[in-house]
Amino acid sequence: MPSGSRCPDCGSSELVEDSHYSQSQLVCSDCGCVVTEGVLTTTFNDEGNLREVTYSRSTGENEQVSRSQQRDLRRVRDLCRILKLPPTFEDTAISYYQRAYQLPGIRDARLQKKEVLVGCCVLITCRQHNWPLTMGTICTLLYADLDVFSGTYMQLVKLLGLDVPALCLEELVKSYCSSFRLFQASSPIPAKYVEDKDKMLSRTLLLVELANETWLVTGRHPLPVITAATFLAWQSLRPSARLTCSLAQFCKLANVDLPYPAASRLQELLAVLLQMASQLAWLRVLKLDKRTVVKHIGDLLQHRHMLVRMAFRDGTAEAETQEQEQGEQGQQEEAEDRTFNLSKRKRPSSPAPLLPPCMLKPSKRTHPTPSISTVTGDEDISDSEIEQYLRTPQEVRDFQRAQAASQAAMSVPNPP
Amino acid sequence: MMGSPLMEEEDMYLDLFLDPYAVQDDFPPAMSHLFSPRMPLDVHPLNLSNPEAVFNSHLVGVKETSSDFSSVDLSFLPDELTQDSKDQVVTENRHETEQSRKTQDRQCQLQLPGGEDNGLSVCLSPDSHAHLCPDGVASNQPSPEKPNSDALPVASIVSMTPMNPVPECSGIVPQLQNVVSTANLACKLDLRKIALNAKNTEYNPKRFAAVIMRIREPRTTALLFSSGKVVCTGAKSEEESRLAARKYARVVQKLGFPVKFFNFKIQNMVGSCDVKFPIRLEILALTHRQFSSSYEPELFPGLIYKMVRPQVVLLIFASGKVVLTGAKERSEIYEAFENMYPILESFKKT
Repeated sequence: MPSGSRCPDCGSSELVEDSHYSQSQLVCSDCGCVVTEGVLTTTFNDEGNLREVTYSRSTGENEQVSRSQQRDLRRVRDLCRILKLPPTFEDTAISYYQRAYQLPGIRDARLQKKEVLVGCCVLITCRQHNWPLTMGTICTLLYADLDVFSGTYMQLVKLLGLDVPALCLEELVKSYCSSFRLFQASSPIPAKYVEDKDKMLSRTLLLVELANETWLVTGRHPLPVITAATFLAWQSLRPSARLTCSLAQFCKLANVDLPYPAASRLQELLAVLLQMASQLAWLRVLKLDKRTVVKHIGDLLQHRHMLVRMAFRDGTAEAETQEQEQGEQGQQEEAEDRTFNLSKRKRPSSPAPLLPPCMLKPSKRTHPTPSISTVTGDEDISDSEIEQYLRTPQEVRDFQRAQAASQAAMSVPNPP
Repeated sequence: MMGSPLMEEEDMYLDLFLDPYAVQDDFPPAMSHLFSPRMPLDVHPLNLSNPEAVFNSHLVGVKETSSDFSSVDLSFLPDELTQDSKDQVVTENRHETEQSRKTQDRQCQLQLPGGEDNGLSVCLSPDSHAHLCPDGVASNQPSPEKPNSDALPVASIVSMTPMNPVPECSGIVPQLQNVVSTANLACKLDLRKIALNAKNTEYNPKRFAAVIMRIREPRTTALLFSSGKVVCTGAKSEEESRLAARKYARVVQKLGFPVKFFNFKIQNMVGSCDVKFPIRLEILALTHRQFSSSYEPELFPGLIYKMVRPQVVLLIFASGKVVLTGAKERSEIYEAFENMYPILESFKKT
């Protein structure tokens, strides 16, 4: 395109842009003289055809940012894409990483820590937007240990002074339940096991809410509780066909890993449901056990608020009055257990205390009340007491001989 | 000169102690004896002209330092003086001075006058002992705040329980579970020789550059380093830790090293207690997140609360059990728990 200048030789204005071995040149079409080589500026029209290049793809970033940081920033983006997070999360996570990298404690850390830091930034971003991402998932994606991850995570939160909200249980239930492969019939899953997603989701949510109310979630990892709740919800939607399926089989069919504590969470949840069932007259006569109560979960959930209130009394008030009545009788836990057992024998449907399972179970070993010691720290130390810790010369010799013998035995080479 | 009037007072105080509710009538005239100039000057190191200030200092000093003689509401005095002063005199006559662990019972004495259990009121601040020491116990210490672990406990006739703090509002006293202390033996140690000549040792130089030694009474473990420094862990109280550290020093001394015992210092104390009601950790975390509490159920079942004053870390569990750690003094543990208890109490009977 003629750019408005004239050829210096012949004065013609017919300048053509031509490329000579991919170098653009302005050439006069009349006399062939090269006017300019490699035009540095472009016209406004030309620039209109250009496309934007993001800063991260351009070379500008490379100069200021170290190679390991570049690599980790790329990893943050990749992680966000793998987890299919919304695009805004990426930028937030990147900014956290850059902030963290300024801190001396992080900048001097080992590469392993920096790799884990990538996951920490993504996790914090997700938590702040209530996106349910568990630490276990991130650790699996990063091939990292949970303890390394937890150390870096706590350090990062402290150094950046962040307020990270807790994991949103409801969102976690929704995303975790959706991952169960039970909503369509496929080859290993018989038709009677297929379930409607919405029904299962709503029932699981109710069961998790119930577990939360009855102290089964506080202090515990949330995922096994949700697994147990999903299993119970699924079973109760068609108990006749599904009671024979165990928790492990269920998880295998659904193509989900079974977390180890899920079995005990299941038992705890069933115990709560049984307690609630004992408050309903028409269920009390049926004398339910842990298997048969599954059939009535629907009813129990329908009246759950009232049943929980009836089935459980406030554990603390009851415990205190019982203790006062009995007076000081050594270990307090024993006293509580005795009273609870007594009440259970006499009135089987009396309200049980609403306490976390760790408080309901009797302690395995008695904790002796520490005797009041009158040690001053300045007492005399008798020689005999000290000498009991010293070896006699004979013992020293024996010990040395034994040590030498064992070392000789270890260092003997294997016969060829 | 000191003898007879003081003995009379002593008997009177003993009667008063044994019958606490007869105090009010009898006391005021008796009190004047203490203020009388018959008492030697060294008993009132501060201010003879202002004898009440001496008592004030004891009472006021329980909340602030003893040197703060700011004006006190004197209406407290009659009730408080009865209990405290008679106890002071009785204990002084019979027992040696007890150095204070800074305890909270002092606060209690101000707030619960008269009606307290006698045993509790013996848990006194030593400034009182110092000021009203009629027998001229040698250690006149105007600075009672000095925590000296060399002190003897007040194994007094007055109270069977040694310095247990009066819990203000919780009624629960955290039990000390572990005390970690360090000392300097001030001589280079040959770790191989120690490991060879002492029975109760482990030494694996490839794993760790110290000898691990254990003694049975008090049941503790120590790390002995070649520089001569010792770390003693596992004791249940400060005195036990000091005794244990001295025993380790004796063992090393018997092995032929010229040990000394310098710079004994308590580095960490761990206590635990049970509030006996369940706690909703997620709600506690929600309300206190900005105050450095961290609750990550995926990582740890307890809530980690980093208290700033005193600098103590509390681990709070759903069962109501609380572990306090990071304290350098016993009083810090008690104070931290008392600071935390009102917050936890709001979870009672939810």
